Amino acid sequence: MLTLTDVTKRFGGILALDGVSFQVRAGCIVGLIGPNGSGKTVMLNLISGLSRLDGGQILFRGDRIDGLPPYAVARRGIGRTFQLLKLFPDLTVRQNLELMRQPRLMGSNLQTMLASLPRVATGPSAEIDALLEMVGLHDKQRERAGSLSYGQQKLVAFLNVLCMNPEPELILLDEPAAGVNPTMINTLIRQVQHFRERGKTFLVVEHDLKVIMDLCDTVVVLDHGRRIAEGPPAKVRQDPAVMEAYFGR
Amino acid sequence: MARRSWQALPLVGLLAAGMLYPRLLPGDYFLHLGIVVSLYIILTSSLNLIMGITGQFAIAHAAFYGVGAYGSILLVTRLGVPYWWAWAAGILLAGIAALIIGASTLHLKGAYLAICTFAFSELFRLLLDNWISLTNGANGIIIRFVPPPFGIPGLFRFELGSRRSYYYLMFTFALVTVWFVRRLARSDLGRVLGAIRQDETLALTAGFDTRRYKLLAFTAGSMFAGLAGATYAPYLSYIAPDLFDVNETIYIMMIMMIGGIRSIWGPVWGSILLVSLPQALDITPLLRMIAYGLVLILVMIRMPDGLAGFLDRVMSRLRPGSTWFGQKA
Amino acid sequence: MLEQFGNFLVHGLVTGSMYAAVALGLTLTYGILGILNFAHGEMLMVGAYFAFVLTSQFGVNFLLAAAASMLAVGVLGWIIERTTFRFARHEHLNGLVISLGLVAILQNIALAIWGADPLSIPPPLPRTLEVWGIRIGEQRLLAFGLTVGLIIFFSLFLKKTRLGKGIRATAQNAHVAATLGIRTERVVAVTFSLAAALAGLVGALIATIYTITPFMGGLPAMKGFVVMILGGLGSVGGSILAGFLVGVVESFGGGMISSIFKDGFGFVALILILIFRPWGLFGQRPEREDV
Repeated sequence: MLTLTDVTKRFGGILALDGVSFQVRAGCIVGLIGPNGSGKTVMLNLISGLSRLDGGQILFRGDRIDGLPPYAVARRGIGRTFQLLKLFPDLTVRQNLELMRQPRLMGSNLQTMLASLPRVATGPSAEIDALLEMVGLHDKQRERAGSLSYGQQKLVAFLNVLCMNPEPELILLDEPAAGVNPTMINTLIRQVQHFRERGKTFLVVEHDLKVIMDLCDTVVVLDHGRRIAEGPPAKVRQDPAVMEAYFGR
Repeated sequence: MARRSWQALPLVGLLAAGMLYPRLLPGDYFLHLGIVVSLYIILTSSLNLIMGITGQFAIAHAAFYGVGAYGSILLVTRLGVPYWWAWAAGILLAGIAALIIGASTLHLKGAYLAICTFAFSELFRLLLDNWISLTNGANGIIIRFVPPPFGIPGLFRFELGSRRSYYYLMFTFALVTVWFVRRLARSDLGRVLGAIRQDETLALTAGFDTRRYKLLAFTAGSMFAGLAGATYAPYLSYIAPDLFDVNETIYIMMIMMIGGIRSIWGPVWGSILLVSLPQALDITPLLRMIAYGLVLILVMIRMPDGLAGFLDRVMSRLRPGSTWFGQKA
Repeated sequence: MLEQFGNFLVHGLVTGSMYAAVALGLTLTYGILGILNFAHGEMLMVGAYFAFVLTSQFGVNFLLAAAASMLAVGVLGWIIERTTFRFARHEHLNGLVISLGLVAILQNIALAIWGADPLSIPPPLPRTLEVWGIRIGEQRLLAFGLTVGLIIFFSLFLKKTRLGKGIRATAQNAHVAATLGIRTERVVAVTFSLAAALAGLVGALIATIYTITPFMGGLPAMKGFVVMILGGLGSVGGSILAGFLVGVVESFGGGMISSIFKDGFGFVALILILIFRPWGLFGQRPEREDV
């Protein structure tokens, strides 16, 4: 589904990513791990179009997506969350999801743009109800998203991605478990698995190795901008290069 | 549905207040005050759309107000275009100017955007000051015509012969602007604009082409400023470059902040207060300005959300959940 | 031709030094308070009047008077920060309106005391120098020398001293600075007061070259903002270089293209540069800083 070939990114003189290649197959949950500063978040930024590649290419369903602006990448079916939590804090939980559900009219022409003007965004949506019910946020739906607990906000950010329109096929999660209590982590893991069964594909950057082991089919390990290992979690864990990268020499 | 119609009550209230005002406070002086208040309601509401709702710190609003005024007046005086056509052209010109300036500056953020739009605004003023053969420079243009009546034959006819009729015209536009901004803020489109203010990167990765949305809000807001200029100029009967310089933008911003940024009604409260307050303080102009400065500082420290936020807080003690005075967009 | 060129360059550099000093103060305030302080120009104005009163009414030596205005305006800045801006830190719109309130108050107090008629301080060095066909007033050279000296002093202060490092740390991240044991509250007040003091001195110097009016602060402050953005926010060196750049660009533009459009050249330069470098000449390129 997603194929990265020789992806390279420089910041000034520093090579943040040095010719990294790997694949994410449809319906898989792939983990992207590595020590701090190994280039994981940089990789997500490159895929989602927030920064530009200095070399290599990224294919999504056979089409090149590197060089596309972030909104175009999103419209092709790639959604993402952020390491530092991102949602729309002044909107209520429900309004966050409704916003994401909006058809992306802008970008074609003025007429379609203006067509979204008269619509007052309050229509009921069974789909949004179901999602909120599923993660147990239904009774919080009218509260300001910014007023929820950190873990709940992370769930909202996750639901936001699922609600995107057009629906994302590939979802990039940047440290979904960071700063979240164990109960909430379990909710999150269940949700990811649930949506994988419904055909979604995930690429997960995560520090918590337990989450990675529980969740992922394949793990890609980065260190200093290079791919040092790839394979099933249990195997990667035994890899000497990985041990060294994580625990030093 | 019942809920929705209650929400429209403040708009009806404003309509009633505006229509009754000339009867309650008759006389040319109060009509003039009403016209100026209406003018600033248009200017601040439209700036609120750009700065408050969409969160774009652009300080060139008075320039678009000036494009509307100079554009329409020059078309009338230099080319002999009938006023109402020139009026429409003035608004359109403001929109075109906003498209060009917006397209070249809206990728900037925060103070960068502020100062870059400020530079455009000052360039516009310098242009007016120095293109003397067209604009008569700093001396400005005296407007000697009265806008002709307009209307649809057989249906209605509106004459602008008197101050009173001008008041009704300006007030109608003020009402339309407030209504438009309110409607826009609650539409799907308005939600996206608010989302851009709150987190542009997130909006972008969620698939919204944020630059287009920002440009749309900027252009729409600026066209209302152009409308204010094109409508107000003949009443003022005189236009000059320094009416549209950056100080004017700053004044508009000030009204918006004192009234309450991001609130639909803030611009209304702010315009009423800041236009009438200096008149009401019956002291020497020097002391008046010093008092004015003190009021600005105190309001910003004590009520960071402006009057609208303050009134909402007071009201919600009496009736929880009430947002009649503020109505955050 | 070459002489003319030299004249433009020298005069541009002299004006540029003033711009740089004003922009330096604005950069410090913006970095540390997150506020575009429109009242910065009024600090200039207060400094000018203060020096005027000392020299013309008490016969104080100009250099002493300039130093005294620096001190006085520094104290004024401290009072202003403690009573107003500290309630609106990083609320850039609220802070901006507060600064506008200060502009109204300070301008009108000055107007009440000294009226609107322009005043001036007789320059202590009234002669004009001529070297290689370049003509320049000695007073301008003095002003240039003092301003440049002060700019160098400030840059070294920010780089080398403990307090200076504290200021830079607080500007980068106030929370982290606070956890590192920097007393950010005091740092903010001191920085604001230093920026004001710098403006006070520039005001006193300007007063010997141009005239003093209650409204004299507006233009330098506007120029200062342009210079600050052109240099790139947060870059002290950038502000200084951009100050000289704008001074020189205006001098050449005004002299060779159009004198009435003189003030416009700085704006044109700003717009053109921001189109290609949205983070200014020497600012940090934001690699999606919020991601």
